[in-house]
Amino acid sequence: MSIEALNITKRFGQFVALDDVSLHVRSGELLALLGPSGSGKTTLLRVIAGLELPDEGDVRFDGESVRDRHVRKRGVGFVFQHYALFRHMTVLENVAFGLRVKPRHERPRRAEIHDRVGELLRLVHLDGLAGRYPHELSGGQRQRVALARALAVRPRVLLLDEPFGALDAKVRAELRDWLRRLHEEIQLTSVFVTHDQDEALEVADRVVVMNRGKIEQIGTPEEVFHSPASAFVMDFLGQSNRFHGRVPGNSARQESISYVRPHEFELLKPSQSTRSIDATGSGDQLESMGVTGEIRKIYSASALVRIELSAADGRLVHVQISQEEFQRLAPSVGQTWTARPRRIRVFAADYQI
Amino acid sequence: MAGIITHTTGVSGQHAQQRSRVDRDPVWVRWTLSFLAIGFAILFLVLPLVVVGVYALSEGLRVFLSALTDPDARSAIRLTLITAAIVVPANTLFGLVAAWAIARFRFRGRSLLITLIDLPFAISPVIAGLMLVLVFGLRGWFGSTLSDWGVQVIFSTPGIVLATLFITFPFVARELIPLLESQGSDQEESALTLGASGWQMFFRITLPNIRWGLLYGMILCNARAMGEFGAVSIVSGHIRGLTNTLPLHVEVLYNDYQLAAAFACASLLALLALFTLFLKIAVEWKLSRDARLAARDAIIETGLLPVRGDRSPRSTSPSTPTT
Repeated sequence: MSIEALNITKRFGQFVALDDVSLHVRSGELLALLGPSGSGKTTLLRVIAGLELPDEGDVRFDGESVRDRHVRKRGVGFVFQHYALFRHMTVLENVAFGLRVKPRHERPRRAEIHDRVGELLRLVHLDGLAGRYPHELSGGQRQRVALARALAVRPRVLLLDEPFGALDAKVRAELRDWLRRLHEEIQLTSVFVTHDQDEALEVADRVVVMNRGKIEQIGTPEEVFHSPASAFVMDFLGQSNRFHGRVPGNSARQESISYVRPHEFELLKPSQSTRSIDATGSGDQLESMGVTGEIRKIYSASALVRIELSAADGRLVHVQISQEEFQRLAPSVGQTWTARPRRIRVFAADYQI
Repeated sequence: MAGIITHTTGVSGQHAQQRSRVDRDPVWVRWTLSFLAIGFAILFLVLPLVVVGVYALSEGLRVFLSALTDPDARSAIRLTLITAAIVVPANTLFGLVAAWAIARFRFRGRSLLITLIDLPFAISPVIAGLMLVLVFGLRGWFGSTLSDWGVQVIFSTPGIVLATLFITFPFVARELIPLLESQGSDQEESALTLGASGWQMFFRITLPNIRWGLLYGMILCNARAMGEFGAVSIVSGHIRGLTNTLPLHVEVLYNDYQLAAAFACASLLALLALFTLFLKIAVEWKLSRDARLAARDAIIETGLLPVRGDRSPRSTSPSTPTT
C-alpha cells in the first residue's frame, strides 16, 4: 500500500516539528527517515501512524485520506523505540494481543490465534520462547517480539521508530540484515526512523534526509550519498572535509563551502606538486593543488587506512586510502604529504552547523 | 562490546564496595543511632498499641465483648464501614481520573490541579469540617435549599461521607501520578496501534501496570477513611447510635470514663492499623519488585546489560588472575 503525506505541518507550542512536509512512500518499499534528533522524523512517523494529529495537511493510504481515522482503525503496525512490550504478559500474550482485542465477530478462534502466533514467532526466530516474559529476553529478542506483535494484526504498513537504536553494535548489524531479508520476504510497505546513516543507507530502498522539520533530499542510498542535494546532506552522510572559499567564477563573490570525502583524496609526495594552498583556499585552487601538511596520525587497523593531515592553518584533513595504496606509498607520521582531491562538491554557504 | 561493558560494571561494582568501606561510620555511632531509632519506635509506636490491648482486656473478656456488641458500638462500626465503602471506591475513581489527566495531558491549570490535590493534606481536618458546615449547614450556602428538599447533610451520614471524601482525596492520586509518569504512554499507544479500544487499553494494559500502586493508595485511603476524627467530628454532631463513627464512639466512651469499653473499640482501630501495615508491606514489596524489573528492562533496552545467552566470551576476561 502506498502512503502519502501531503503538506504536513505539526507544531508543539512554539516549536515547529514539521514544516509543510510532503512525502510519497511507494507500495512495498522500505523507506528510511534519516536525520539528527529534533529533525521531525519521529513526528512524521507518528503522524502517519495516527498517534499525532497534524495541524495542517493530509495523510493518504492508497489515495484515501486517513487523516480523521483513529489510530486503532488505520491498520498500521508500529514498533516503538523501546519496544513497549507489555511487561505483565508473556511473549505469546504480547503477540496475540492485537488478535484478542478484536471485536467478537472478527476475532479468530483460540486455536487460530495460537497458530498465527507460532507462525510469527518462527518468522522472527523466537520459536520456543512463547512462555517467557519480556524481562527474561535480551534486547534483540524483545525487538523481534515487538515486530511479531506489530505484524500479528496483518497491518497494511509497518512503521518502526529507531528500531535498532537501543541495541549494541553487533546485535544491531545482525538485526539490520535480518530486517532487510524479512522485508524482502513479506513485501510490506515499511517506513523506519533512524539517526544512523549506515543503517539507512544499508537497509532502505530509498532514504529521506530530514533537517529542522523539512525534507532535505529524497533518493536511493546511492543518490543521497553520491549526489547530495545540499550542504546538510553532504555533511550528515558520511565523513567529509569542509573547505571555506568562494564559488569560482562567481562575480557576486558568494561564499561557498567545498566538501571532499576522505576517500576521494589521493595522497601524493609533496615534490609532485609545485605549490600548495592552505585549507581556506577556494575550491578551484583546492582541485589543482590539494592540501599539503604533516601527517599527525595513521589508523591502519581497519579495511581502509585513515590518515590525519595537519594543514598549514592547523586544521585537520581526513584522508582515507586503501591498504594496498598504504603499502605502496608507505607514509608515516611526521612526514609531509599532499592530499589532492579527485572530486569536490561545492555548495553555497547558506547552511550553518 | 558486551565484554567491555561488563568490565565497566565490574569496575563500578568494586568502586561501590570501596566507597561503602570508606563511608562506614564507627561502631559506636551505628549502635547509638540504631538504639535511638528502635527505642523511639518502641516508646511512641509499639507501647501505645500494647497499652490499648492491655486496657481493652483489663476488665475481662466479657466486658471487652460487650463493649463491641453494644448497640451504639455496632452502629458506629456500621457507619464507619458504610463510609469507607462509599469513600474508597469514589476516591479510587477520582484519583485515577485526576492522576490520568495530570500524567497524560499537558493542559492549562495542570499545576494548579496538582496543588489542589494536596490541599487536604495541607489543611487541618477541623478546618475541613468547618468548611463543610459553612457550605452545607442550615445557615450555609446550600443548607437551606437542601433542607427544603428534605436532604440533611450536616449532622448526618452524607456530611460524614463528604468530610471523609475530602480528607482522603489525595491518597490514590498521589500514589498514581509518579507511577503513570514513570511508565510513559508507550505501552498504551502500542495497544492502540494494535486495535485496542480505550477501555481495552485501560483494563488490559494500564491497570495491570499500576495495580500495586493503586492498591497501595486504596489501602492508605481506607485506613484514613476509617480512622478520620477531626473533620468527621465537626460535621457529625456526635449523635449516639446515629452519627458516631468508630473513632468518635471511642472518644464518647472515653469522656464517659468507660475506659475498658473505649479501649476495646480503640483496639479494633489498632487492629485495622496493624492489618493495613501488613498489607502495605506486602504491596510495597510487590511495587519495589515491579520497579526493579522495570529498571532492569530499561537497562537491557539501552543495551548496557547482557542477558543470559547474550554474553560474549570476552565478558569473562576481566576476572582477576589466580595466584
